[in-house]
Amino acid sequence: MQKLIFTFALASLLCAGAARAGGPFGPGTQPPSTNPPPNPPPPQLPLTNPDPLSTPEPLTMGMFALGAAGIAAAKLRRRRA
Amino acid sequence: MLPLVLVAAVHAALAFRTAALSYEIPVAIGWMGMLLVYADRARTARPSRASLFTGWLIAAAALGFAAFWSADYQSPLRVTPLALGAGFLLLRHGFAFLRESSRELLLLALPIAVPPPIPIRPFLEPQTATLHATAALLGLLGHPAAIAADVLSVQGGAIRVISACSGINAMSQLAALALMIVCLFETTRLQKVAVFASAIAAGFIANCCRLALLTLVSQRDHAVFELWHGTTGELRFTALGLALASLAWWLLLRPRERERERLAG
Repeated sequence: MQKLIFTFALASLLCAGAARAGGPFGPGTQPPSTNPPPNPPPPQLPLTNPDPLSTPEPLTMGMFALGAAGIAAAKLRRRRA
Repeated sequence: MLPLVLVAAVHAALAFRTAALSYEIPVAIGWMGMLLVYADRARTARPSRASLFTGWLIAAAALGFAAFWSADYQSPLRVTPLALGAGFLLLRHGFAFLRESSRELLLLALPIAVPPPIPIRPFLEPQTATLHATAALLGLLGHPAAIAADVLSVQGGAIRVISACSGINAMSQLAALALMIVCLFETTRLQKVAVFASAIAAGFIANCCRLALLTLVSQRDHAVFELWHGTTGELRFTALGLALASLAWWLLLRPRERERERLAG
């Protein structure tokens, strides 16, 4: 079971890396367009947007993930004991 | 166990495809916690046909939406981990098992609440409390502070503390970790309350320390102010909040472990 959960964690990390690199799980890319550029989008008003995710620093989110990994490791350690 | 790990991996991969970091991380954490809880449960129940059909329907719909919106983040995506997990439990183990799976479902509901959606943020951001607590902290440090609207000032320095500066993201992340703790470890009701309270308090205190430092350096050295106001400073105070919360959680859960050891001995 622990191997499976570690596999899940590893797969998540690989997917994250692939997404960042624009690999098979990466966000879809569009071919360069020859049309003139569209008008610039209107400025975003964060408080009126229905559900914008805040734009946290990756390292801050990494700290959050690290905390979760620590809790998961403590749980696995206690299961083994 | 393997089918659920596969379902979790597929959904997490779709979440990572959105490239919305603050959606991806809670999804991965929610699934991780859910797998750990699920692994410890006895799973003997057999589903009825109705459960099987309804479960398949919910799980397929959730996975379909997750795939459909995976190229670009949309807010309804936040519900898909919960719907997919609930559908899976229903189709594999039936309605009775699902009803007893509150911990799994709570963990999968994490991405709905973290980070808090914009419509409810104004009700959660403790701007006034942050201003007064930071002023009190500055007073304790020997720098009497004055508050005028959202401006916090000391002699030789002042900052504006807008509601977005109230540390709501850090507090919600620490609260998410607190949820993970109470779902994964055996705790009393009092310990559950204390684990959540210490998470919120740790985030709040760390943020007040950050604002106090920013107030003190605000009109002295621009480079130093930018250092602490930017990523580097934010990261250090996030680490401080996590360290404070971890210490509190360790202290809260340690006596129970000792008691268990004593009983085992």
